[in-house]
Amino acid sequence: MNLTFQGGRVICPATERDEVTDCHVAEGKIVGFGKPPVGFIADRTIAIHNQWLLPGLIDLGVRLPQKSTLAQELTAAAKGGITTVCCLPDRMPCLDTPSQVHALLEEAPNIYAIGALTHQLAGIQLADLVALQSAGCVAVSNAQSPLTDPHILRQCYQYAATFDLLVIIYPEDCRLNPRGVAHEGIISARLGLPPIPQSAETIALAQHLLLLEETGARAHFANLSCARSVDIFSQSLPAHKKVRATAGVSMNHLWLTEMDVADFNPNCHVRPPLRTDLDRFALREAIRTGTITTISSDHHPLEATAKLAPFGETKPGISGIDTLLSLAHHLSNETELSFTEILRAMTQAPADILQQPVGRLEVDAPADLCVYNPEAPWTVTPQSLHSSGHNTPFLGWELPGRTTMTCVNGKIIT
Amino acid sequence: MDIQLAPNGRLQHFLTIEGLSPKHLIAILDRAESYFDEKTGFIQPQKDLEGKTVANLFFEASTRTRSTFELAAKKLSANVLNLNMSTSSTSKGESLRDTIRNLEAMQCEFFVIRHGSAGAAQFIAEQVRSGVGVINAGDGCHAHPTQAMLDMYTIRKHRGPDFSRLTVAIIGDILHSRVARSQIQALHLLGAGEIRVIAPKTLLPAQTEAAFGVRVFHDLEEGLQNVDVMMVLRLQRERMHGTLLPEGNAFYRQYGITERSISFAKPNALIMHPGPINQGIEIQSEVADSPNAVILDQVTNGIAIRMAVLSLIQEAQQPHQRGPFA
Repeated sequence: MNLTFQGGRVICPATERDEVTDCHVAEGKIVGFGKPPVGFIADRTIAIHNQWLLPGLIDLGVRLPQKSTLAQELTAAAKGGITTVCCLPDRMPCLDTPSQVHALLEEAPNIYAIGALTHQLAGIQLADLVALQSAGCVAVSNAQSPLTDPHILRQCYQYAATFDLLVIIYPEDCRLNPRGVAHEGIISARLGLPPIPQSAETIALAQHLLLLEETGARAHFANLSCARSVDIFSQSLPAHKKVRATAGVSMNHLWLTEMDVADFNPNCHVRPPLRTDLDRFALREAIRTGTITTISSDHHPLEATAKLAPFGETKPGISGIDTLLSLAHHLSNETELSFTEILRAMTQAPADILQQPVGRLEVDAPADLCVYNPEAPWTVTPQSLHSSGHNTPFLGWELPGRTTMTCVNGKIIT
Repeated sequence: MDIQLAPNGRLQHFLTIEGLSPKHLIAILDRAESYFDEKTGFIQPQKDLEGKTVANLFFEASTRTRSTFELAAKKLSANVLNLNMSTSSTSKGESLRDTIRNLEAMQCEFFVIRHGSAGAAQFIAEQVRSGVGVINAGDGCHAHPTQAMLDMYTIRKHRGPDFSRLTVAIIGDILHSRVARSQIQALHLLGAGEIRVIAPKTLLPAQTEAAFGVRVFHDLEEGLQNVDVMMVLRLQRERMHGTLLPEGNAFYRQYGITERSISFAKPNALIMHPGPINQGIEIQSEVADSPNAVILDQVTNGIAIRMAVLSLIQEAQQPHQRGPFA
């Protein structure tokens, strides 16, 4: 079906396009802007005046824990303007064999699967990374089961480097936060919550960077949470050109801090933990300077019972897929960051890291796009969420706009 | 935390000192005082909770706190249900929430809860139906507000109502101490002149000075200078992981409250301890038994304080009672 999106503001960081124009789609691809190409006849013209036409978002960190909720989560992603969902391997069953990857992709062909770095994510034996890649994985990761043995970690990176596989890293040294559930700071001190020091992240980050330098593996740090991590990461880059790494942050950490934990709100229990106001500032600043290039939802939908316990006994995780784009817009309203900078971190930057031809609005690119109404304020309530997980600390927040339509490969899916 | 207060400002739960006003604390102290017979010094039985049921839910071991809560409830004429939760159905997989639902169905009006997780009492308070009062008898390392109140009572009894003249030192395992956290908050509310904590860095929470508004000392002699009240904490070995202290008696040597170390404080400084005492580990037995030690008085006062808290919550549950404070 040929589509024309008429009269919207087209914003594409990758092509630096920001103008009110028409966008034409045929055979799953973008075929032109402005005047329709010769011979193009739209089957459907969608008037989107006063709305934004954006590249569909690429979400680098999504957990799709259960088969039973897979379709619902993907619908929620689409409703949120996300056209590329990168599914982390820490699900049941774990994405550590080609057959598991095939099974997932059969059900959800548009997913980008991230394979397990080690068998069962146990950190003992390499998974068959090449077979996982052949099965369709865009990257490998041990997700949030960090390897404790640096020798094994080094071997994993050597092997990944051999085949130039992207490794997605959640830097965490769990030995520094035994039983920890909240950032080590004023709030955890007052509440008596077992603390997670920032060194649990920074020491792991430094170790990973040194091993990446030594092995030449290509990596992306998914979720930096503190200012010191930004320092360490930025310092490692110019001095050691051999390090091929990029860094990301979750939308949660760009908004929330330890103060949000102060009332034992279990929806603020997340890994890495919410840190200080200064950390949040540094993370925002790192987006502006380009030290951190990606923003993900770090989506982790949980059943209600997972959060029905005293704070430290709840499962960590925030459901973020519904609110990612609206929070991004809100962030551009409330901070110095421009919407284009923020959008780049959810489109062009992850596409470049994954080396995939998505995240951009240009002729011949796949028509993965979303229409966003910047003047459609809504309040986050359990009823307003499409994800099965209502575990979001943003409940009650008023957000400025929301996605009204999403297209994948030229097909309107929601 | 607003959940503790009914719309009229009265205590409907007692979860933490944080968020309360000095008036709430003084109301508890005054009520507790009213239960003592002036002549005999004995606590007089009352009818405040007649026909009510108090359920003691202890997920962690306790002797003193549980038995004083039991005595307090009985002296208020309440029925008491003691549940040792470590051996009850929660260990058979029943969730904390289901347990509470069942006890509500048994028409318990009060839950006294001790639990290993910070925030557990608040979690239960959020789950119970209105008209049920929750009292925190210790949640993880977070709070132990009735202990703090009995300590305040003991200080007031021995040193008078003006806390602004007092320099109070809390000594020992602050990191794991819910008692210390509640004591510090109560001392602030009652206007204590100076609050100090004395401990090695391994036994202090992060950013202690900023988090709690106290002066931190690592040297016992320096920290005890001019101190009026010494609140000694129990070393909570069961909560210690890793290597917070050297082997042997290193802690006692550096931070033990001994006849020598109390000489650094003011003469006749009060010596307090929430119990149970580890003699020769944090305090010398001769000091614990000395005339300035009020450790057993604390135990007695604990009964009256817990009566006062139960009684005030019971009043908040009565819709016709007026005024924010007792």
